[in-house]
Amino acid sequence: MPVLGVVLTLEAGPPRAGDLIREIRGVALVGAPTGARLPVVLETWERGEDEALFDRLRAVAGVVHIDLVFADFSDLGLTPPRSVIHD
Amino acid sequence: MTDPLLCNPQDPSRREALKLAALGAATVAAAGGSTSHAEAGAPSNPDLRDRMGAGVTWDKAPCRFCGTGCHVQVGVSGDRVVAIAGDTQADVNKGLLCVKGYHVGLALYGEDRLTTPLLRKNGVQVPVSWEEALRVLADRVMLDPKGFAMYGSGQWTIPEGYAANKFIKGGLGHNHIDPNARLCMASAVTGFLATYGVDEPAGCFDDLDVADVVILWGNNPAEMHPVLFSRIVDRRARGESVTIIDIGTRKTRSTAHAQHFLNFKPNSDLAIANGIAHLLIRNKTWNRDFVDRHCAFRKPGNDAEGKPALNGAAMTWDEYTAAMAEYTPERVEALSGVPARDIQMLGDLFGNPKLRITSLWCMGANQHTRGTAINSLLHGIHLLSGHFGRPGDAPTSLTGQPSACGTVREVGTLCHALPGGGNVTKEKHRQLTEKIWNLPAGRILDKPGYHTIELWKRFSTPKADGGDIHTVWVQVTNPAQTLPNLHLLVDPSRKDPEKFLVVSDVYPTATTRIADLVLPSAMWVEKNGMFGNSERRTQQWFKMVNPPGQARDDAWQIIALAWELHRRGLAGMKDKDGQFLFRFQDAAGKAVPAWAWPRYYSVNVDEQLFEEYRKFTQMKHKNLAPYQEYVRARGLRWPVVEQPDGTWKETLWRFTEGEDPFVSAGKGFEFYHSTTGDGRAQIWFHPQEDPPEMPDADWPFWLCTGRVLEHWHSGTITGRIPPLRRAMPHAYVELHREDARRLGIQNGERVKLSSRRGSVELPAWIDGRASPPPGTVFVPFFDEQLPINDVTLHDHDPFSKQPDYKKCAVKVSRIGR
Ligand code: SF4
Repeated sequence: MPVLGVVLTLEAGPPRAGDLIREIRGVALVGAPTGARLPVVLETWERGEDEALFDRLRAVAGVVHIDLVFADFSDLGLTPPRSVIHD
Repeated sequence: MTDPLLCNPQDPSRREALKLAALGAATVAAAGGSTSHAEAGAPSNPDLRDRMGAGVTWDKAPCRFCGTGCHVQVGVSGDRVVAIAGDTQADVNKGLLCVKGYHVGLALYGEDRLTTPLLRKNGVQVPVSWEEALRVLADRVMLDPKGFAMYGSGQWTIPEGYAANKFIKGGLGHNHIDPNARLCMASAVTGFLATYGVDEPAGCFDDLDVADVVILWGNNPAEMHPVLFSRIVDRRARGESVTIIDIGTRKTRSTAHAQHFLNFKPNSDLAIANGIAHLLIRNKTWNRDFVDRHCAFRKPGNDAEGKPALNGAAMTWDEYTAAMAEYTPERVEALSGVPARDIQMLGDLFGNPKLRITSLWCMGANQHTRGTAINSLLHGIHLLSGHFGRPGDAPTSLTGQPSACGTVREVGTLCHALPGGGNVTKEKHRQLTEKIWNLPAGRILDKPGYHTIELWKRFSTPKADGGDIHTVWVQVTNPAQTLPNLHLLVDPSRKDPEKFLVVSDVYPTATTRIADLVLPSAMWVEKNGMFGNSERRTQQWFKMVNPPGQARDDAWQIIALAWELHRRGLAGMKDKDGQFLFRFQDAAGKAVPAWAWPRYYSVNVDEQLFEEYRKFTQMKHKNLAPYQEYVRARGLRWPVVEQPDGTWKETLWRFTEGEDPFVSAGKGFEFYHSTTGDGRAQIWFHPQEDPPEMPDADWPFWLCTGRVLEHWHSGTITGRIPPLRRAMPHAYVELHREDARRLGIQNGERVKLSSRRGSVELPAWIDGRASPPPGTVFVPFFDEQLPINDVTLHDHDPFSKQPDYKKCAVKVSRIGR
């Protein structure tokens, strides 16, 4: 998954969660918060990297919840599905 | 012209454009979405259109997965879904999606899509043409139409389910059609019918935005309805106060967000509900005005033939209070294990008229041999306390599947049902159906067909021994993995040469592998569709990309078979004027042969089927708007009624004056389909009773089965989405640390789980995602390689016929690494 848009829900009155998030590798952009919700763009180059990235985000003090709102997967191979014959 | 977004994925300018599009989507979602109405189907977030360029077209669709019914924006380029964004204009999810939802586009692109019909010849499935497949299917019907059954799904679209229902009930003239939803929400249906005389929740998801207290009854929405759950917990982040009480048999991800966890012994939820009623009576905190004006009391009772009747028998207030007298907090503690002080807390909360209380439940209450009873009792405590019909005060059952409500409950694809809430045993309902379908009188059989368990039992029983179902056509579901007690219900049919299994699906499954005929289906945005979610919301989408190879729409498959049978002269395929049952017309009124695949999309078959179906929906006040209204909206909650200015208005709270257009002025509340015919809802008494199987010395553990966040049901689709498969690669058995220690089991070691019916070997997970109490184990059912339904029990509720997947007795033994 190369580019993801996520919304982080932060605890009311987050200490420095926004700053901490900015420093995490794979966080490409951090938008302007609306209340406790922070829009963030994640960028990964390897498939599977996104899971570790989510774990890092969840581990940040003050992050209550992560919602995903955008995913681009146009870089996935365009191989046609193959037919399956059983037995 | 090449689109910069689609040429080189690692092109820096493309990455920048994508990042800005993602930021735009996230910013709008963080702001809570836009509530303004955009043009039909247009991306609700202009950034997506602007940043991703003209090469990507966007349209709306509901998510393919759960009953929450989130809307997504689907980005398409070159006949391929390339991006997914949460739909910020959708009231349900306001732009947010869960991990399954944002991967939904990848659901189409697993490597092993079924792309050609396959017929078993000499024991091997070989490719055949659609013509041959339809001929074989028609031969099976002609063998004996009464023995040809359909087994469908809450993932059927509304028009697909409607076509299947009409084909079987109107065409073949019997009622042997039942969906997999029998396994997930049939007890919710019987609970609603027994209480209100009509199915489906009175409240809606808006209740969760204002409730002071949300009670989860054996329910884990953090994993099963994640966006709905985030709608509750997000309120806390906004500084609002909402108390979550988790009443469950194991701690789950939902428990982590709850202020109170009330751990009850399996099957004792009836005692807890009765304990609340007891306290409302004892403390005189029941809502006298509401009850006097709008409720009556009911207890179990038999029909004229001496069989338990869904509507039971009337009881007086004195009888009701006497029946509830024994459910003191102390006795409930003894029965359920929940401390008396917690029962008192629940009693106090329900007794406080100032609070707004919403109860949520799903499989825990439904997959229960007392499913109808516990559903009725949950409605009962809300009615008795008056926590009903105001925003935030609602007893709300959730559905697991995206259209369990729309396609199963509303279209009536259950074996006793007719479209719009009709019942085959009611003459008036049969007559209406025959009128709308233009059938000769008497075509609709007055006897219910076989419910799921009975249908599969008959299919797995030799004809000579009463197994009168010779063929089952399965669509959009995977019974060889999801039915309980597979050794009894499925396996014998595969050894009987007279039994023939047909499966329409998108990927190989446990069921396609044992099928005699496999039909490749189009899925989600490869076809037009409509779903109905858990809050009565009917949703619509258009086909956006072509299905692979020869995969075709499920509704087309039904109509094409009907035409083949019509061609062969099967009388049931004609209406009373001799016309084919499924007729479609173009805008000029000219007939279009939609049974021929090249012509199927010459007309909007969905729209024409839906407009016919819509005629049924007024009978039970489930009124739907014209199809084109759903094209414009992100779903509308029925009843949807036309206003004097020509607009169509949805209903948020049923039975409440001022909200529900069918409540008479001055009534306040009116249960206009009351089983007692007097506008009253029924408050039930049901005693606590033991389940059919309980742990003992030989089988000392309770087994509970269920789902996990990453996988959709049997994992057919989500197992092919790499990030989801990696996140949850295989099933496991969740054990309490103490039990594991006692049995010498280490984390990750293989253990054997056995019941009286079968066994399965699984890796142990101790202190994993959830934690069962000592004496209980949990296994998810998504893994085809580790089929837990070899172990489960097929005993079912007497009214809903829904089996209990949540409770049976097993033993656990260590195998080792
Ligand atoms: S909560 Fe359900 S409907 Fe919403 S995105 Fe997740 S799976 Fe789809």
